[in-house]
Amino acid sequence: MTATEISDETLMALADGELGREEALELRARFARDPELAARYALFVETRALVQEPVSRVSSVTSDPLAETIMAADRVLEGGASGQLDDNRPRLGVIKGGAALRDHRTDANARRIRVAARWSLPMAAALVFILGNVAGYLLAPGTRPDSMSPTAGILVMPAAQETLNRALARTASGQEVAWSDQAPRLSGRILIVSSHRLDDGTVCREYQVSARDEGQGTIVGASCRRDGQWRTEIALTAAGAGSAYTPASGMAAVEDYLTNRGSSGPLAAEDERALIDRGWR
Amino acid sequence: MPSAFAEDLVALLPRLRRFALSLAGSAVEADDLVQAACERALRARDQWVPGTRLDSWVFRIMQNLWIDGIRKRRTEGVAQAIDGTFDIQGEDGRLVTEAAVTLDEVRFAMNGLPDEQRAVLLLVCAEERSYQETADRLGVPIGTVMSRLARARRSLASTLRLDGGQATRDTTQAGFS
Repeated sequence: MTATEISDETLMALADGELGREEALELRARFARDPELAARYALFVETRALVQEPVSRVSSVTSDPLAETIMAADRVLEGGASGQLDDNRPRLGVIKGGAALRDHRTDANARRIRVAARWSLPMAAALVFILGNVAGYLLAPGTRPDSMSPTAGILVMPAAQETLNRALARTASGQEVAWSDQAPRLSGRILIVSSHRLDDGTVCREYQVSARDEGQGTIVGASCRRDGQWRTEIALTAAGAGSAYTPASGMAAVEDYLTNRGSSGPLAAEDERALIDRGWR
Repeated sequence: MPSAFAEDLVALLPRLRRFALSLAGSAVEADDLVQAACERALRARDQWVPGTRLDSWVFRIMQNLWIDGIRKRRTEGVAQAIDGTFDIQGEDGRLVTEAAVTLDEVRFAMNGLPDEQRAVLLLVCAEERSYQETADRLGVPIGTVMSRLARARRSLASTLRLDGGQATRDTTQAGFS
């Protein structure tokens, strides 16, 4: 059967929620094989949506979790659009809480580190988005927006994110895993650098995420285990084209961060192994 | 201060979510679509024409992402999670310049419809009545409701130049970076 045998009325009924579950699933399965059919369908979804007049902007804050992410990306874009970053802005940002980082602005080695906004604009925006689950951390309570660097530098593509979560749970320090997304350009490696235990008992892991493609640089970061999940605590991106960058400077900054948070240094391999085996509990 | 654009986008989120759910049919895929479309919209904000409907612009972006995602998966013949299929980075550098639709244009297009078509369109799409309710209300068979409704929407799409969207999509380069 070809797509032309599916009537507009049927497509429209799906768009209007009038089809039964079985029929709807069958039709949707067909979309996956037939983009033209999907496009015909989309037109009915679109016309329905257009007829519903836009409601005037609500002043109350929306509770949509994506809202904060959009605002964070907006700051990156607004800040980055000028092409020049304010030099008074911290170059390194702590995403949430933690002790203040020492000022790296005069540290020649740290000059290479940039927040995502300095990277490349499209990438910065993409990055901010992709770690949606971390977005909440960007807006630390009590942080004045103007003092926040667009640290949004939270990095990683969805595929990398998944791989990272797996690697954080299971991979020993010093080991590397590969991640790849469908598009050939989206692939790279994740190196787990070390594990730490903070004064308050929280366990954290430091890592590097690299993308294979030139210009995508390397991200160094640390995630800590909170409420049974790994949360990105700090993430820094390398400036510009990857070649000029050595992750070492970024790692130093991440280690500073962990030290400030109360780590007394990387855990021994056997302690780490025990934690991996216990699922970090 | 967040930009007005970002605020408007946030205000649209509930409708974008509904739109995505209608398109994709699954909540997971809809989430990814909304996120990808918002990201794309933010990046392409300069291409949005002030005075036109932001909702329709983002709807169109989302539609294109959805259909592109299908195309891509089909050509590559791999079944996998949807989040791997979106062109997050705009890898081909293409950003779509979408059909700009104003509120007035939509009203105008609707006013140009025959009364009986406009009636079903409003009942089903604006008031969200079912086909059966609409049929009962208007005292016509459900088949009549459906054929009028389909005609009304094809006509609306054509007046608003929505139907050519896929074919005539602008291939402007991204222009960032």
